Order: sequence, then structure tokens, then C-alpha cells
Amino acid sequence: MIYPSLFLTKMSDFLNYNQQMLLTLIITGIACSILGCFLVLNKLSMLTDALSHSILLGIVLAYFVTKDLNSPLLLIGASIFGVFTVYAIGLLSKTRLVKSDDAVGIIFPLFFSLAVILISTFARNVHLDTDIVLMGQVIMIPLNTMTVFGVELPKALFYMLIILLINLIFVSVFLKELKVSSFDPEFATLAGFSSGFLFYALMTLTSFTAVAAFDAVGAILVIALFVGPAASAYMLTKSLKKMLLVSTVFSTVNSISGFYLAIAFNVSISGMIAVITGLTTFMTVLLNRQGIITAIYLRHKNRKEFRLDLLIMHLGNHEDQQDAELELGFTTIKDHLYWDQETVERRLNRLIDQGFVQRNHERKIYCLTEKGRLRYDMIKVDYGM
Amino acid sequence: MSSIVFEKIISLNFANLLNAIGLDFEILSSYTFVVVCLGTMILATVAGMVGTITVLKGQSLIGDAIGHSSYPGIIIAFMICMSLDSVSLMIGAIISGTVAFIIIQFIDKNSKLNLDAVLAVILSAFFGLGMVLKSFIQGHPVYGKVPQGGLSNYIFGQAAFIRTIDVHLILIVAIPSLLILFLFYKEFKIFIFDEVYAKSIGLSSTLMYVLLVLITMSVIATGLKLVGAILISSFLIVPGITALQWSNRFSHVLIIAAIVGSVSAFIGTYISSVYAGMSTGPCIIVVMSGLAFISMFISPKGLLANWLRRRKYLNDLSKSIFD
Repeated sequence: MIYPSLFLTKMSDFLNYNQQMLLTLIITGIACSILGCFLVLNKLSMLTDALSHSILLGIVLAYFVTKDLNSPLLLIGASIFGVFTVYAIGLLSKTRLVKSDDAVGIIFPLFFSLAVILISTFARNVHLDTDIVLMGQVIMIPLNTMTVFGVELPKALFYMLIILLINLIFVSVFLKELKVSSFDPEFATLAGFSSGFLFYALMTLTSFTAVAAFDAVGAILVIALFVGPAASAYMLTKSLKKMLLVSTVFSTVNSISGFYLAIAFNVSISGMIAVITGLTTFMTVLLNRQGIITAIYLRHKNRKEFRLDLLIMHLGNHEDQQDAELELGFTTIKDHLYWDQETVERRLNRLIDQGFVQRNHERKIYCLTEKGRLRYDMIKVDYGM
Repeated sequence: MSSIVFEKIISLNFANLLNAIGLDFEILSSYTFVVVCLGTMILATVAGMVGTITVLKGQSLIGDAIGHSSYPGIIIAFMICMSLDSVSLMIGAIISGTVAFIIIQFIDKNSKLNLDAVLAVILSAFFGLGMVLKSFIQGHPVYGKVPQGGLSNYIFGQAAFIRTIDVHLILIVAIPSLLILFLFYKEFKIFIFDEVYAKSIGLSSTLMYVLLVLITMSVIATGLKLVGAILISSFLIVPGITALQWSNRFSHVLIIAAIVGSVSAFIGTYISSVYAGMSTGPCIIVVMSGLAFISMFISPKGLLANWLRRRKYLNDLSKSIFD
């Protein structure tokens, strides 16, 4: 049993390296997905792509000023640059010389290129690898520690906890405003609050989150964390609060499963989480209420039910008629429904099992039971006859 | 004998001329520069022309998503062929890019998600798959034995390392792509500007999409080695955006895009050869974007012209009021 000292508690005393990594990933995922919901709702998803790439230039520029890769100022500088990127894209599309998609597509490769050039010419011996920026170094999370209030914990975890807290406060304080400006920006303007302010507040937080997250998980996973869970939740829910909740669940599940799969196969952790995020989103596309597989299943089920209804109708219509033996006879019924004997028997057996139909052995016909009669009347009402 | 002397004089004069305008003849005549420059110029020309169509169709970010998505294909092709052969890696890139494109279209059609979100998810998932596979083969007992240093070049591009065979490959892709563009020029024009009309005269829009995706995909796949998966999309869209500032006629736009592409490829390659350590792809993109921004300012539809026009209008107005 380890007794943590009063003044210096090490996180590694009660969580091993893997658990620390996983905890950081989960916190990062939740911090991202909360904001991601609003990005998806406002159709700003590709801005995360632009942000996560152009942040590199912000980091390089901030490095030239601070000369220290570990300074918190570096993160702040990079975040401000991220907001500037969004502002530049907005400015460019406001000139109406280019479409907004084109503005995104022209600005971020430019910034990324500038960053690559600056790194390769001026910052060669600095530990600032473009590969790491893209792919992240989840493995390094527990090794980079800092001490806060006597607790030694991974730096990335501490930063992400603060970011998560800020994001949570922002979303809960401005929930109503964010909701209105996401769904009805014109009304938001009429109601007297500036959706421009909210937009830039949202983008500032997105930028801060992306900068804090990219160091640990890499630019590519940042995109997945922002957009994937939010997109899945968007397809499944109809209210904003539920969407926020579901997206955090998705994000946590993705992080945990991706993490353990990556550990099991000894492959890139952030890559694996991005893949899993893509997979869960794709599965949600297929399986949600309007999804294609759900549609096929429902169509199949409806067709089946319709056939049984049809059969009951046929029985009900002809039972009391003169030609009942001809229409409903054990061997003749198939001629009137244009089904083969086997199919007829299978479907009738199902109705017999459900108690709607019985065999009348005297007349050698199928006829409805009491329950079947009720069902027959109900069907007639349902189909408007 | 005399002809050799004569040639030498001419080349010297030519060299002096170039030096006078600030270009280094040594570099311009070096074999590496000629190969790299040819490669990037041809690529940028074709990419500019093909990309113009994507820009006009309003799908400029799809190129970005496909560029990122071709990365896992390269790794898978490496795993199957166990070599860094350019052709097989290119085929791998084309296949995975196409798969990504099909999935993007499928999700876009079958869900209420915005295209933006679909692109972002697919882009990160595919690139993530590339990262997973890359880390898988790195320590692998079988794949680990084959040298795989060249694989990371496909992320950021390494134009300085391309060889004559890569230029041949670019030509092999470029010529048919341009041929398709010219042969179906009218069809593309109708398809871009009035898809409904195109359908009504019996032009299959599926066929046009397939053609467009085919040439875009092959241009992206050949460009990966030079510019990399991350930045290839700007080769496609920036020349088109620039050209659209100068003209509204489709044929003119195509020609201007080609010129912008090749000129920026030349300047970018030159800059990267003069200053050691500068990567070629990013240099070209900076030049390209510079041209785009200059065009937005000084073109006939640009900011400057608009400002002058407004000022003139206000002047005329005030004159007509006060006179």
C-alpha cells in the first residue's frame, strides 16, 4: 500500500501509464465533442480541418517570439492565430470574390506551407516535427508531467481538464443563445444578441481546444474528435441537450475502444481512435432511424405484415359466402391468392400460431377465430373500408 | 568546331541574360532542377485545369478529403507489393481515394449530415487508418525488413527526390487526362453550368462524374509524391480560383489556370532549389496563393477595381447633384 505524501501526490501512484493516457484521451474527446455539436449544427465542420492545420504556423510564429516550446504562451499564441485563421477565411469569403469553401481551401494550405517552410529553414534543430503535429504522441502524455496544487499529473491532462471546464461553462451559460443562433440565426439577430459574437466565442474556444489537444493527439485526431461524435449524435437525436449527451457517450466509447485496440495490435493510438470514430459514424449512418439498413428492414417488415393483413381480409371476406369452399379450401386457397402451396401454408401457420385463424376440418377450409374477426374489423377500419 | 563555339557563345549570352534578371543559370541547367521543374510544372498545369471543374462545381474541399484519404492506399500497396515502386503505390492511392469518394457520396445521399461533416469524418478516419497501418508495418517482422523511408514522403511530398521515371508517370497520367478534358470539353461545360439541361439532352451525369473523378483521382495520386497528401488539394483549386478572378469564360479560365499553375510551379521550384532546405511543394503553394491574392486585388473584378468603380460612381453622383 502506497501512502501518498501530503504535499506531493503523484498521479502515477494510483493510475498506471495506460490509464493516464486513456483518461486524457477521454477528457480531450469530451471537450472536443461538446463544441463539435455546435460546429456540426452550424455547418462549420471543415473549419476544424483548416484550424488544426494552420495552428502549426501559429505555433512556429509563437515559438519565434517565446523561444520556448514548453511555454504556455506558445499555446495562447497558437490559439489566437487559429482565431485569426477563421477571421481571415471569413474576411475572404465576405469579399464575394470566392465561395466560402474555396476560402477555406486556399487559406489553410497556405498557412500550413508557410509553417513547413519556416520549420525547415529557421527551426531545423528545434524539436518541432511536422509528423508529430499531424499524428500526435499519445505515448508521451504520461511522461510530460507538471505539479498543480501538490499533485503531479500529466500536463496534457491538466490542460484538457481546464479546457473542458471552460467549454462546459460556456455551453451551459450560452446554451439558449447557441441554440437559437444555430437553428435560426435571423431570429437571434432580431432577439438582440449578436450571432457574430457567439460565432467568434465558439471559434476561439474551438481554437484553444484544438491547440491544447493537438499536442497530445495530433491534428488528424482533433478533426475526428470534433466532428465524428457530434455527427453521430446529430443523426440520432432531436433535441440539443440529448445531442450533447449522446455525443459525449459516443466520444468516450470511441476513445476507449480505439485505445485498447491500438494497444492490442501495438499501432498508432490516435490513428486507431480516428478509424473507430469513422466506423461508428458510418454505422450510425446505416442504422439510425432514417438509415438505409433501417429502411430496408422496415420495408421488409411492413411487407410481411401487409401480406398477413391481406390474408385475414381474404378469409374475412369469403367466410360467409357461398364459394367459401372454393376460395378458402385447404388446397384451393392458393389459386385465389396466386401464392404457391408452401408459402400459403407457411403464412397461414403463422396466423394460426398467433390465434387469428383456425382450420375447419368439417368444411376443409381455413376460417377466422374470434380474435381474427376482431382483427378483420380493425384492418377494415385501418385501411378505410 | 565553329558550331560548338557558336553554341557556347549563345549559351553564355543566355546565361548572362538570365543572371541579369536575377536567375541562376547554374541551377536552371542542372539535371535535378530540370527533372523536378518539368514534373511539377506538368502536374500543376493539369491539376489546375482539372481542378477548375471542381471549383466551378462548388466541391473544392472534396479534393482535400480525397488527398488525405489516399494515404492508407499507399501503405496497403506497399504491404502487398513489398516495394516502394511508384506505379503500384499510385494505384493504391487511386483505389483508396476512390473508395473514400464513394463512401462520401453514399453518406451524403443517405443521411441528413452536411457534406462538410462527412468530409471531415472520412478524411480523419482514412488518414487515421494510414497512421495505423504505418505504425503496424514499422515494427513488423516481415514488412519491417523492407526499407520504407520513402513512405513518409507521401504525406508532405518530396519533390527533390523525384526521378525521370516519376516525370514519365506524370506524363502518362497528364496526357490522357488532358485528352479527356478536350474531347469532352463541351459536355463538361454543359455539365458544370446546367446539369438539368445536360440531363435533358441525354448526357449521362453519372458518366460525367465518373470521368471527372477518374481524372481528378489520377492527378491527385501522381501529385502525392511531389506535394504530399496534405497539400495536393491546393494544386487543384488555387489556380482555378485565381483564373476565375480574371475571366468568366470557361475556355479562358482553363487556359489561365494552366498558366498560373505552371508559372507558380516554375517559380516555386526555383526558389526551393536556391535556398537549401526549403521543400518544393510548400514553396509552390505559397507562390500560387500569392498569385491568387494579387489577382483578387488587381483583377478587373477585384477589390481595387471595385473600389475605384465605387469612387468614380460617388464622384459622378456628387457632381451631378451639385452641378
